Amino acid sequence: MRSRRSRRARAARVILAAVAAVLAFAPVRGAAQRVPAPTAPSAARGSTPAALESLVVRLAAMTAVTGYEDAMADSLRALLPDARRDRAGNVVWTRGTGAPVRVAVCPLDEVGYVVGGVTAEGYLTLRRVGATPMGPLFDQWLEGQRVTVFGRSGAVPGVVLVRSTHLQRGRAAGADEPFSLESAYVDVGAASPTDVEALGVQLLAPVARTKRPTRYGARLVAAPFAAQRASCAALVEAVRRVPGSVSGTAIAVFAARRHFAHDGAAFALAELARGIPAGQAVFLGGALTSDSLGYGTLGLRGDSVTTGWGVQPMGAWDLPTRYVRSPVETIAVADVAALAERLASFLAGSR
Amino acid sequence: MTPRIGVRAAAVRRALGSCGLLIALAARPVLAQDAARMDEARDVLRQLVETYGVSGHEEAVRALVIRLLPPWTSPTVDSAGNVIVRFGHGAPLAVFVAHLDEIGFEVTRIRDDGRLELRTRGGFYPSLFEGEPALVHTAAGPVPGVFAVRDSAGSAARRTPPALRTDVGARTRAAAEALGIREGDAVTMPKAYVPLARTLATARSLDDRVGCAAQILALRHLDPRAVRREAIVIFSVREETGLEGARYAARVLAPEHPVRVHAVDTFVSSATPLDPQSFAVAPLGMGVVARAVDNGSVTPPLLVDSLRALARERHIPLQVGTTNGGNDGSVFTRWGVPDVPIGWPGLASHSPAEVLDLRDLLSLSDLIQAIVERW
Repeated sequence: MRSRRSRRARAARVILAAVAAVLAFAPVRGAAQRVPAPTAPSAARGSTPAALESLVVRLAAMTAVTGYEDAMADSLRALLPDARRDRAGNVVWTRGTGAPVRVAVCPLDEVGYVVGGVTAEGYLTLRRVGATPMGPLFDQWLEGQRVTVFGRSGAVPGVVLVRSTHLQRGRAAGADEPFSLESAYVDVGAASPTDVEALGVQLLAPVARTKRPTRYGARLVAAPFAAQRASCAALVEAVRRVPGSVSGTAIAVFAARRHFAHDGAAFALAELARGIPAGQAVFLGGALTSDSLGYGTLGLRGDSVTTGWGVQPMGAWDLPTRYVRSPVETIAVADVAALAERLASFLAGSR
Repeated sequence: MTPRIGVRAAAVRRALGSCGLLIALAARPVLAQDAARMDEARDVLRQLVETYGVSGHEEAVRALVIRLLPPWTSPTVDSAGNVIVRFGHGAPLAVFVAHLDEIGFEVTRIRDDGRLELRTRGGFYPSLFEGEPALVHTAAGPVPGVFAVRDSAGSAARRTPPALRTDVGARTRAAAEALGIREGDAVTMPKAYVPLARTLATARSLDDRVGCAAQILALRHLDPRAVRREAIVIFSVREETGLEGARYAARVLAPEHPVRVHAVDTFVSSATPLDPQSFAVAPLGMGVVARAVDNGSVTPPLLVDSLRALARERHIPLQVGTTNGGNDGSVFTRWGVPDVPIGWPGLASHSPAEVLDLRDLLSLSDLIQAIVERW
């Protein structure tokens, strides 16, 4: 049993590390500092902007409802054959051994839905999955839009019904409240629960808006959770550029279940990087609300993840993002390239 | 296959009992359609749905309709922009009208910050477009963008967003113009035809590409040499902004004293858990619907009865109902032409998620053909 004294000492170390993180990475959420990406040359030549854009679009087009991340994890393992899956469902890539340990964590999941029920007429009802507050309009983004139900026999297209505008004429206008999940009926073309079953759709099948990333402007990409997926693309890109030999240990974690208290990241940090200084741990996936995209500036701030062993202070490197937490959350590929550059240097031990 | 009636059968009974509506649900399932016909219908509809044509901007869909018509037709385009197919000889003259256009937006102003201010074309919920991908249809081709999201929803968020704007990634007016964007350009969401289970499908602008498809399929399958009367099939413009194309056609055709006009358009069905169940009862997959009463027309009862008899004779499943909305045929009645609108039951009207059953498209096409040949 640990003594009270050692607990105090550990707590003091955590506090000191947190302070160091704040000093290293600037203010907390909401007051992010914009810092230009480093100009140090990377360990290896990176992808072309077009290739990086394709990787961003590829990841942004995927669905990984929190807790149901297998398909995304498999794709990441295909992109990084050296990576492995850990007990928490994270995809973990490691290079080198010993100290210092440097770890970058990018969540791979998203807030989404599962089938909560099937009506007698064959409509699906939904249950939201993920504890992260997503704002009052998150469910409204479903109304009248296409969704994909991930059934046991594959993806099943559907739509979330909306009241016919014609049939509302002459009715009381109502309170104009946002669309609620209680009104979400998914039509997959079935006429009965038996039809639904025949499609391979069962209770708990993951459901998400059908992903169709939009490329527009000067290499802008819009998609749900674009900042998070683009950050993971940057991490993939960075890992590919890390030289074969590094000082200490470089670790990349694509973490499961961010939207359930970061428990995938918490497990990985406790297992692989317990107690490392804040400057050696980076958390990705955040969105820095900004209208100025494409200038290669990142939002840097201090953050932390609570593991089973205590609080792990980390730096958070956020992508400038427009229309945060909407279906057209938008990032610039130029910013993703800057993030990849910075991450590659970090993992290689160049900074 | 069974129609999706389930709990809604109760609504049908309620409607019959309390409102005395004319409901003639087919007593038996829709006749089996052969796979080739279904494939053809799907192919025609897919092409129509995946072509754009906001009200007043119907050029592309008009050109496609002309391409899809059978070789024996000699389509013309009138001064309003309607496509006219005229065939057969002798009285009485029957007219059919399906509309080419779809709901959407137009650019009204390019702002100094490069964003586009919009006006709506047709009626719909703007909340369905906020935060969605966008296409600006310029003379040089489509430019992708997004419908911008409101700055802050706050804790007291409303469903309806402030006036929508489109962001094409330009940061200045000049940059937007350099993309070829001009005031007056049409703006839409991207769209695609997506099959659902059984014979259902979803897309935006099924209203009224289904009507256009039904007219095209009917023309493809009838024998013009065997037609013993004159008929005019119109693909009209600007229906969603006030029946403007049909209004022009009605005035031009009035001197010829058509015996009837058939608007071929969506029958907005209440067959969802969200819509009022007191009327608009027309389940999907149960066949074409005689739109006996809507907000712009009422069909003379004798013509409803006669239509029902014709459908029975040709083994075409026919429903009779009432719904909301107007139809292109209603602008003919002031010229003394009875309006007998027919349609396909559709869900989620004017949304990105409209739904139909392809069997109803085939029934609609069959009924048009029967009317030309026999009524």
